[in-house]
Amino acid sequence: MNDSRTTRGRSAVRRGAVAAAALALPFGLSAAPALADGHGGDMDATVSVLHAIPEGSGADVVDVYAGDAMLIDNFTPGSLETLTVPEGTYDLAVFADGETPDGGTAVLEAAGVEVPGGANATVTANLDADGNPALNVYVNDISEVAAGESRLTVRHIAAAPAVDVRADGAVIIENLVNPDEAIVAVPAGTYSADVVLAGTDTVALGPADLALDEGTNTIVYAWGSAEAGNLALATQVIDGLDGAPTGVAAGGGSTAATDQLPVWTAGLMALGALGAVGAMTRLSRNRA
Amino acid sequence: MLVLIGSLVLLVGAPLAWAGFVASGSSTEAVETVGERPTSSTSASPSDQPSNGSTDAGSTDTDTGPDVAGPDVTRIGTPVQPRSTIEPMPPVRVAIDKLGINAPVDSVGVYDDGSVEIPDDVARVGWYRFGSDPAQGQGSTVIVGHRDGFDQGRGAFYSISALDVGDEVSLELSDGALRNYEVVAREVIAKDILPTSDLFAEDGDERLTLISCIGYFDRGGDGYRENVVVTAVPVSEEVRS
Repeated sequence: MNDSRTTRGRSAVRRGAVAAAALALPFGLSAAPALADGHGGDMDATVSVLHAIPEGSGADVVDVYAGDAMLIDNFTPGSLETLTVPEGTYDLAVFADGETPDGGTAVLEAAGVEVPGGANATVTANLDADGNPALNVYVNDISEVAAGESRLTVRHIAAAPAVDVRADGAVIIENLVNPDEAIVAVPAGTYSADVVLAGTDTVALGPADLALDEGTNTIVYAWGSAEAGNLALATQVIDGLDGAPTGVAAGGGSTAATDQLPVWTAGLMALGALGAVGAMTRLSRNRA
Repeated sequence: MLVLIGSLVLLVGAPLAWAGFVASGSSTEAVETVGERPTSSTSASPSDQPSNGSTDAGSTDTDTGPDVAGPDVTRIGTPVQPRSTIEPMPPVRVAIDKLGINAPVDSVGVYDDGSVEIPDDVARVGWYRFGSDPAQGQGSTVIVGHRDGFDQGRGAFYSISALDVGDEVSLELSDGALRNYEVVAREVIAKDILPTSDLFAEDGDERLTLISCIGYFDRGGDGYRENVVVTAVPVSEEVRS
């Protein structure tokens, strides 16, 4: 349970159903390891969108736009869509089904979201801690995962107080608040996970079996509303992050030539010693 | 006098020569290479990009979904489909007739230090379960085996350095099927430069990689200084029959 880190949520742009002013996001998806792949020129980025506004909150069926272009059609609560998009800067907006950027009023929006090539990000439409709709943008960690390990990312996007996350009964993430995320590296395996109110044993969600496969970043979202009693978990898995083992130590040495000098050196040394003694004997005899 | 000098040269030179030979073990390139090992980088497989459970399907902006907003709406983005996952088919036995090897295969992971776990019983070998397997149709199925034990004598893979290009290796899989492979490369590589990313790659050409130890044994704690790596590729059905 090492390598734990918690970060502030990237942004929480709150928009009431009638609010319209766009907020520019000074947000760069700069941490993009894939940039090192050597692909030149125009690159794509991977963007996932999670609809995490509970039913009955005025966003049951929405369309997601990037500028004037539609990104996702007929998006419903609990759904996750993943798309590849050209790198660029996007004005993201969520509209009630049927409304369009041409004359419609956005339910939520985030302007100027920079998406560099190779980046991997997730945009969540969710509730903030107070229960208002929000749009968050998270950068997904797609760096290599050490052999045998799995990366768990937990994002608090629920209208709920601070929580702890437990795996097999042990707290692995403490005091996570909306809209923060926490990331831990754990040995790959299946854990019984639950979410409790921070510092308590009061279970808010779960327990549920959580399969954390080797070489993946498994992103778990706690969403919904505690007050409305519809807290839920959504899961996104990013695979293909496997790191190679560090080596292969496949011998105990019982059949190895020893690290002492091998026999042939001993033989040559003995020959040399004999010769030296003989030569010196002869030399001393000659002197006598 | 000449005899004395010659004798002293032998006396001092023999152990020095041995020490020099030993020191040469920490080389920066493979000590020995026979044949050519296919690597992920030489393959055409595009799947070395991380994915959101993705596949490499489609690369256009074509929308195939319902479009209730009407045909005049511009679409952006290409939906990424979940990567189809194939259930692993672990090897349970490896046979190399030429060397009289017929060893049971265990599924293994990694030790705390990140190195590959190897069955304690040197008569057994390990399939790296976090890597590829014969059902995937791509990548490296890695089997590791001891050259020897601390006190168990010779291990199952004691003699794999005697394999040559063209030799046959076969695997029995967990469903009872047999897979035949033909050796294409044998390398002896210093452990500190073992190209683990290539050897354990889950993409690239389908191949079988056998790894053991060889070379100078350092009783100071580092053990064998080199790995022997044997790479084999599947034998086509036509050839097999």
